[in-house]
Amino acid sequence: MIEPSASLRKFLRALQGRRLDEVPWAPLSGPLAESRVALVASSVCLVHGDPHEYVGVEIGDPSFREIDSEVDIGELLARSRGRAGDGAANLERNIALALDGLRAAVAEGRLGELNRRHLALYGPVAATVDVIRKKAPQAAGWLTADQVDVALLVPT
Amino acid sequence: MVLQLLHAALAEVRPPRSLWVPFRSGYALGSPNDPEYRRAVLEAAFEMLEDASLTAPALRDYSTRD
Repeated sequence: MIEPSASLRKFLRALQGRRLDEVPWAPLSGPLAESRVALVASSVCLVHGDPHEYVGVEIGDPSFREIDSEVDIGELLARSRGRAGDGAANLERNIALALDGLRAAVAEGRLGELNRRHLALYGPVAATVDVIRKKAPQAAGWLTADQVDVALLVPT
Repeated sequence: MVLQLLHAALAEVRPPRSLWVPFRSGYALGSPNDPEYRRAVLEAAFEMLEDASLTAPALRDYSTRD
């Protein structure tokens, strides 16, 4: 089991009090083989040409970035001024986005389809409250509008 | 459906469905360039989604998977 570092312990303290008394539950509305799936990755992955590309993603950047579902994995960049986790994302972007794995699952009929877009949020977010109150609901609204059945959250 | 590296975060936030994965930071789907293993992790998540017996908050430990 991973023991949190001092910075992670600080992050976990920011989560205190965020627990929902009643945890929401949504059963699948149909077979997984007919479901539309979106990835939400706490990842530094950016798409080539993203305005953030040239300056790097600032530590704590709370913004969500859209990743087109048809993106060439090789076009993804894992560039930031952060620390841990970036190396793995650079080693293979599928770790960050798992798109190839999900694409294969769709091709095999295990999943219905992938959503037209996926979302990436820089992992070590400093503005936790901003994410919880504003960014995450906004992201959920986007996926709801896209009629996504399953959102798969993958940390970097 | 959440994959999570930090057990402490799961305990604090309690997402509806969580699969705790016993990997280090940056490797939530296992080692690089191992698509079979990565698919196995994803499959464990798929199985949680399909398990109608689960109730919130549902947490599984990937390391104990057969």
